[in-house]
Amino acid sequence: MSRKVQENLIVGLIILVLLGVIYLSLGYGPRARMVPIPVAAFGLLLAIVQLIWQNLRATEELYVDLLEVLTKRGDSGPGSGATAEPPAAGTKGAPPRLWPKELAALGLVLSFLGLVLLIGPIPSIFIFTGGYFLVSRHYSWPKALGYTLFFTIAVYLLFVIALEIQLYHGLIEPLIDYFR
Amino acid sequence: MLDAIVGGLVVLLTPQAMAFLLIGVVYGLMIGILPGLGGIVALALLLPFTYGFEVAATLALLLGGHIGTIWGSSVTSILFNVPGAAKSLALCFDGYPMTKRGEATRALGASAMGALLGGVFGAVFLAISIPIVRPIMLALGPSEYLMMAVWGLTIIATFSEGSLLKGMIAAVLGVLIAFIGMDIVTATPRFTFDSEFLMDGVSFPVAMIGMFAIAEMMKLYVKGGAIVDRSVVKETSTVLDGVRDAFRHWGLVMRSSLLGLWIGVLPGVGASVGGLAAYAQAAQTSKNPDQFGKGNVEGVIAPDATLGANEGGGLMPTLAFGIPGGEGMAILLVAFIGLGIVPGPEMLTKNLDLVFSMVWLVVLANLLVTLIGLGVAPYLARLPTLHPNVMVPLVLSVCLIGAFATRGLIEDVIVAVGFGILGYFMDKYHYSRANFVIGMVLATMIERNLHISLTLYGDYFIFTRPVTLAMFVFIIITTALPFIRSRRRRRAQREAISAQRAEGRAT
Amino acid sequence: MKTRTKWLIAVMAASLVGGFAGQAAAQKSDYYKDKVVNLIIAGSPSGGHSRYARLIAPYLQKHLGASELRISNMRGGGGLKAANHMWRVKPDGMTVAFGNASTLIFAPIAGSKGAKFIATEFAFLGRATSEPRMLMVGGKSSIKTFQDLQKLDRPFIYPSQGTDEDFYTMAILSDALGFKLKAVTGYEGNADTALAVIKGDGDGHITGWSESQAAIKSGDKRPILVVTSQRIPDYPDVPTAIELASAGKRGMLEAMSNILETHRSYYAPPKTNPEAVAAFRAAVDAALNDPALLAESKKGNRPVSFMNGNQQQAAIEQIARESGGLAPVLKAAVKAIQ
Repeated sequence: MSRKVQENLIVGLIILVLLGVIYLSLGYGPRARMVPIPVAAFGLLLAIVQLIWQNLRATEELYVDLLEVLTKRGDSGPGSGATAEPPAAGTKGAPPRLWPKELAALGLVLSFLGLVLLIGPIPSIFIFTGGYFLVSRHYSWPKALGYTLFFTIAVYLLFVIALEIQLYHGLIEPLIDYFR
Repeated sequence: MLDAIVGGLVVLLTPQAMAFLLIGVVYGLMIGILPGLGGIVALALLLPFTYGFEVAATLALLLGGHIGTIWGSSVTSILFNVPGAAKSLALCFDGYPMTKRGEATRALGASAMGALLGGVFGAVFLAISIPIVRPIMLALGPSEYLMMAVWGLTIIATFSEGSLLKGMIAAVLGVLIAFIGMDIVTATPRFTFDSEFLMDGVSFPVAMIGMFAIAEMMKLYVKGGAIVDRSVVKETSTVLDGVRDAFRHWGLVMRSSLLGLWIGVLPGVGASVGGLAAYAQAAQTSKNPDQFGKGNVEGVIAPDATLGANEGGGLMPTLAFGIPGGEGMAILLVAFIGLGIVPGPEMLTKNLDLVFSMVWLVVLANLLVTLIGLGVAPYLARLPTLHPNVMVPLVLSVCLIGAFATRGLIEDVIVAVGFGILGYFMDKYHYSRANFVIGMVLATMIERNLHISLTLYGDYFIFTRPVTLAMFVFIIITTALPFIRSRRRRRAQREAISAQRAEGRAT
Repeated sequence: MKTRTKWLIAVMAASLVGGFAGQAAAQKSDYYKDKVVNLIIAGSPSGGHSRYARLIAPYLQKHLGASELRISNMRGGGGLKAANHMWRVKPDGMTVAFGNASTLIFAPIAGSKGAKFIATEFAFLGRATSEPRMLMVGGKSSIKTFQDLQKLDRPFIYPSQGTDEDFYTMAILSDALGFKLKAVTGYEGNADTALAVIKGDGDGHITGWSESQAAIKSGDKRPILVVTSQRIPDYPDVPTAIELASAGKRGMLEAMSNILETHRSYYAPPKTNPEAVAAFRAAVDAALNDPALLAESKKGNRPVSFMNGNQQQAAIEQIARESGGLAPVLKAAVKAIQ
C-alpha cells in the first residue's frame, strides 16, 4: 500500500465516523445536538478538503498542507513551525519493512490487554514483564525473573497497599468459582 | 495586613508543621509521577490522617501533598510524554521534544524553577489583590469563561505538530470524543450506544495515558532504540541551564503567574484550561513562536508558572465563599471544616493570618518541591535512556494499572489501549495528538458555558456583555498576530532574496 | 450558637429514639465476624457521602465485627452508576453501598435512562443522616420571601447542574406552588451554581443546610423555603413547602419531602441474604448510636440523624407507592431542558 492509499484510507475512515456522529446527533433534542452537529459538519468539510487536496498533489508533497499554502505560512524555509518534517525514508510512501513490526506492537499491546482482562492486572504484569525480558533476551533468565519479581511487588505495594486500589480479578475468577 | 503576613508565617515554624510539609511534598511527588493519579487521589488518601494534629501541621500535610502532585505530573510529561494529570498536558508539547533533544535536565530544571517562581509571584499578587478578589469573581460569568476556553482553543492555530488542516480535523475528533456520555445540559446520553460505562464519558487521564504513553511505547517498539539514545544524543544541559532560563524569561513568568492566579480564583475554569491558556499566551507573546512544539523552553516555563500560581488563587474562592475552585480544593474544604475553619468573607478580614499561613505554605511547598526537583532532575533525566526492552514492559505495565486505578474500572484499561492504538496512527499520519486532547479538554467547557450564556443573556450575548466582547476582540487579535508577523517576516525575507539576486545579476 | 445547639440536640434526640426502636428489633449476629466487607460510596472522594461514610466507617467496622471495611468510591451519573452496579452485585451482603437513597427513587420516576433498577427491591440498611434541603436566593436579590417569588411576573431563574434531586425538587415546587421556572442547566456543581446565585445571574437554587451555612451567615444567600416536613429550628421564620401548598397539591409535596428525607443511606443488592441484612442493620444501628461517633460528629460539625433499616424499607415502599403522581411533572421538567 502506498502512502497515498493509506492516507486516503485514514481520511475515508474519519469521514465515515463524522457521518456517523451527524446521523446519531439527529436523534437528539435541539439543544443536545446544537454543538455536535456543526462541529462534525465542520470536521467533515475539513476532511473532504483534505481528501481532495492530498489526491491532487504528488506524493512527495503530501506533507505540505493546503491551509499553509493559502496562508503562506510554510514558506519560511526548513525549521519553520508550520511544515511537518518530510518523510524520513524516501518519497515512495512508508518504508516497506515497517508493518510487520507495527503488527507485532499491536499484538503486544492487545495480548497484554487480553491478559489483564483474563487474569487481572498484577499477575498479568508479572507474566508480561517477565515474558518480555525473556523473549527479548535482554536479561539472563535468573536476572529477568528477579527484576520482574521486584517490579511486580513494587507495583503491588504501591497501588494495592499504599493507594488502596481494589483490583480487578479477571474474567477467570467467576469461572473458578463456577467449577469449585 | 503586614502583621497578618508575618503572623501567618510564624505559626508554621514548628517542627511538626515543617516535618508534615516535607512528608506531604514527597508523598505528593510520588503520586503525581504515577500516570492517571493526581491531586485528588493524594488528598483523599491523606484526609483520614489529618485528625488530631495541630492546624498548621494538618494544612502543611494537605497543601504539601497537593502541590507535590503538580510537579510530579510535569515530570512524566517532560520525560515520557505522559501527562500525569490533565493540567500538565501543556508540558508535553515542548518538554518532551526537549528530552528527545537531550535537554531533559534543563527542561526539568526550568519546569521546577518556573513552578517556584509562579508560586511566589502568585502569592505576592494574591496578597496585593485580596481586596479585589470578590468583586472580580462576581463580575465574570459564564460568557467570559466561554471566551477563556475559546482562547485555549486558539493554540490549535498556533500549533505546529503536523499539518494545520489535519490538526484541525484532529481537534474536531477530540471535541466529539468529549461529547460521549451523559450530557449534563440536556440529560441526554450521547454516543453511548446504551453502554452504562460510556454514560460517564471517556475519562481524560485514561485517554491521555493511551494517546501518549501507550502510543509512545508502540512507537518505541517499532522504531527500536531508546527515547533518548545517549550514543547519538548527549545530555548537553544541566539543571542550572533550566534555572537560568526561568529567570531569563521573567516577563513570561510574571504573565503566566498572573494568568494562573486568576484562573485559580475563578471557579468553573479548571487548571487544565490554565495550562493550555498559559501555553497559548506564551506562544503568542514569544519572539520565536515558530519554535513552539519543538522544544522551546518557554513552552515549559509558562505552564509550570501558571500551575504554581494557580493553587494560591484556588484558595481564594474556597476560603472567601466556601466555593471550591476545583475538586482538589473541595477536599481541602472538607479538611478545613473538620479543622473548624469556616469559610466566608471573614476569612479575608478577621482571619487573614490563617489565609496567609496557607499562602506561605503554598510558597514553602513550592520551594521544597523545587529543591527536591532540582536535586533529583539529573537522575530522573536518565530514565528515558533505558533500553526499550526494559522500558516498554515497565511503562506499559504502569500505564495499564494506572488506567485502571483512575476510576477503578476495568473498561478504562480497554479504553486506554484503544486510545493507544489511535494515538499511534494519528502520530504516524501526522494528525496532531496535542490538538486532539486540547479539543477534548475544552469541548465540554465551551458547550456548557455556551448553553448557559445563551439561556441567561440571550442569543447576542457576545455583544451585550462588554467584558465578553473585549475578550473576544482580544482573542481575534492575539490569534491573528503570529500570522501577520510571519507574513511580514516572509516579505522581508523575499525582499532580501530578490535584493541578493539583483546584486548577483549586477556582478 | 444557641439555635445550633438546639438543632444538634434535636438531631441527637431523634437518633436516640430511632436507635431504641431499632435495637429492639436487632439481634446480635456473627454473620460479618472477621469478614472483609466492601463499602462502595456512590459519589466522589470529595463529596458529602464520602465525608459521612468515612466518619462512620471505623464504628461500623467495630460493630459489624468485620476484619476489614474496604471503602471505594464509585462516582458517576449522580449516584446512578453505583446503584446500577449494586443491582448486579452478588447478594451475600459483603458488598454494600452508601449513597443518596432519594436519587434511587427519583430517577426511575423521572424516566431517567441511566437508572437500570427498581428502587424498592434494594435492601435498605439504615439512614445515616438527612440534611434539610432549602431553597436559597441571592443576598442582593429582590426576592426576599417566598411570597415575592410567587409575585414575580417572569420565570424564576434556577441555575442547575443537571437532573439531580434538586432539579426534580425544583420542578415539583414550581408545579405545586404555582410559579414559573426557568432551569439553566450546564453548571458544573454546587460551587458553580452557588456563585451564579450570589452574583445574581440566577435567582436561587436548592442546597443542603450545611453547604450554605457560611453564605447565609455572611448575607450572600437567604433561605426562603425548606423542603422538609417541619420547619427547622435554626430558621423558624422560613416556611416549609407543605405549609404553603393548596390542599390539592399537599400530597405531592409530602411525597417529595419523604423522598428527600431518605437521604444518605446504606443499601445492599436485591434478595440479599436476610441474615446479612439483619446483621448489617443492627451494626448501622449500633454504630450511629455509639457515643464516641456522636461526639466526633458533633465536633466535626457533621450531624447524623439515624433511621433504622426496617423502618426505612417500609417507608421507601410506601413512598414509591404514593409518588406515582410526580412522574408527569418530572418528565415535563426534563423535556423542557432538552
